[in-house]
Amino acid sequence: MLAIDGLTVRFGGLTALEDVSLRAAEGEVLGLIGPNGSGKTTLINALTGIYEATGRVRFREVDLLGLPPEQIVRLGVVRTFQNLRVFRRMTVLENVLAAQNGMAGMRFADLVGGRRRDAARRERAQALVERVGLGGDADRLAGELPLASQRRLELARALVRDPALLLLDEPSGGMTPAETRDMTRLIAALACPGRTVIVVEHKMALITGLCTRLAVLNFGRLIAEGEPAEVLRRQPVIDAYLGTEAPVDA
Amino acid sequence: MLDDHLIGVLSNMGMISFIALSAYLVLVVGEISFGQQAFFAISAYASGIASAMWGWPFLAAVLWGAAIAGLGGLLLAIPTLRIRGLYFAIATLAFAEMVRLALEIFTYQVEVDGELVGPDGSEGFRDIRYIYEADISAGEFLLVILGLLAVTLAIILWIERTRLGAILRMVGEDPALARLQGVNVNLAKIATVAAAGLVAGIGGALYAHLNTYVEPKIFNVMLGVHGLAYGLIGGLGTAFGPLLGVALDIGVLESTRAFSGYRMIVFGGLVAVLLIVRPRGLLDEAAVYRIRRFLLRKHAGD
Repeated sequence: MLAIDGLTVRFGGLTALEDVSLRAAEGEVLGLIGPNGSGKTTLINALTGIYEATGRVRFREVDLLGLPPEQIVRLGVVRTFQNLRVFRRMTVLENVLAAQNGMAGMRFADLVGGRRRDAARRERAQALVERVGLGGDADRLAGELPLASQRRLELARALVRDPALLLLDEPSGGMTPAETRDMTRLIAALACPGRTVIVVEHKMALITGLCTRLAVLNFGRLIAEGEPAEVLRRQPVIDAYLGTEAPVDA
Repeated sequence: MLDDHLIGVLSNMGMISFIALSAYLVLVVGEISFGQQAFFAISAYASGIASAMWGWPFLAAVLWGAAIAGLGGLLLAIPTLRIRGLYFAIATLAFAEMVRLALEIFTYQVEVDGELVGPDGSEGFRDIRYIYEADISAGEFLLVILGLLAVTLAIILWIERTRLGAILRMVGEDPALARLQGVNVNLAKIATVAAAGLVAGIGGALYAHLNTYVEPKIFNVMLGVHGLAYGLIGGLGTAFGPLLGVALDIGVLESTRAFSGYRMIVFGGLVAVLLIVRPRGLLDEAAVYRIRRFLLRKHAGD
């Protein structure tokens, strides 16, 4: 469903991603790992239309590169953020409701109608807020929530569009081990046959618990791809994460 | 009955509220405009031309003036779409000065009942006499002002409760993130700036007809600065915010003459202090949220 070929992102003289080719099949949970600065978030930014990139990205027979972010979202490619981005001055439920903008079948009347209009979509937003465990906080300002709850809100906001491709950028960033376990369970429950999930993560517990396949980036290049346990044993991956040992003179 | 002074104060508060609401709408989508007085001016002239020169009825002239001002908003919004923050603010200021200077040389007069009527450049535009010819008293005209203000406010408050309102606030808080929620940010901004032009236009049309005379220099930058400051003082969490700002400035500072000669100093100081301690004004989002919860709880307790 997602085919990335020769994806390259340059900022001036710096090459953040170089010639990355990657496939993601329908329904799989693909883990994207790599040391800091290896280009994981850059890849997500390129897929969602935030960065200009060269190469080719096909999503369900549509070329994504060059499309504006709002159109990519409307095709069903939805993301969350490593550095947490919620609308802090809006309530939790408003955050989720407003994320339904421009979904299929939505009319102008649904934008300006009262509470009774568009009831099905409203109920879905409310249900998702409850599903991520924020039912009691639905009417609180998002900015007042603790960090872990804001991450859950981001997830609800992404899910409300029923995405075909969900891009999660460090969904457990800044969380305690217990919160991370909850988040892992939540993400595991999201994967379904019609949905592909790409997770950027550092925490191995989350990665190995969730992912059916792993891709490893280092210095903007894809250095490994395959079944998680096997990929994590490969020497280049270990080197990338731990650094290579300086040669020791005998 | 209300005395003339009070009617005058309330009329002024009503008319300036349209500029305050207009600047507020632009603030909601995250931009600062120093130029909303331009739309007030455009509509003052356009509606005056319609009623005094073309013989249109009053309400039609007001709607016409507001529509032309809305069109002016559209003309401002499209070329300024790609600029943000300070640059947008300066562009709005330049636009308003262009409009004011254009009115200084705009002459278009026709003979009505043996007299020349119409805008005459820097001499201004006299004899917009509709409400006197129709024998509408100042008290009755105050009701017209408050009625139109109530309708405008009701529409804005309604939109704020809907999904569209949430979308506009998203654009104001984080336009890049709003795009990633499928929002067409450019369309939202263009529509809002045009609507803001229209809202200021209603006020301008009322102003021209109440005073029967307008001249370009009335519509200088201080008018726009006041309109902007009302939202910043009163709060950006609800459309009641800019009205609170108007009430504090005109209703308290000006009309009670509490600080007579020092009013502008107090006003300017108030804006400066609030920008530091409460950057989104007295009725900011958090305050609105607390008030709403308080009212809901009270409602549930009854």
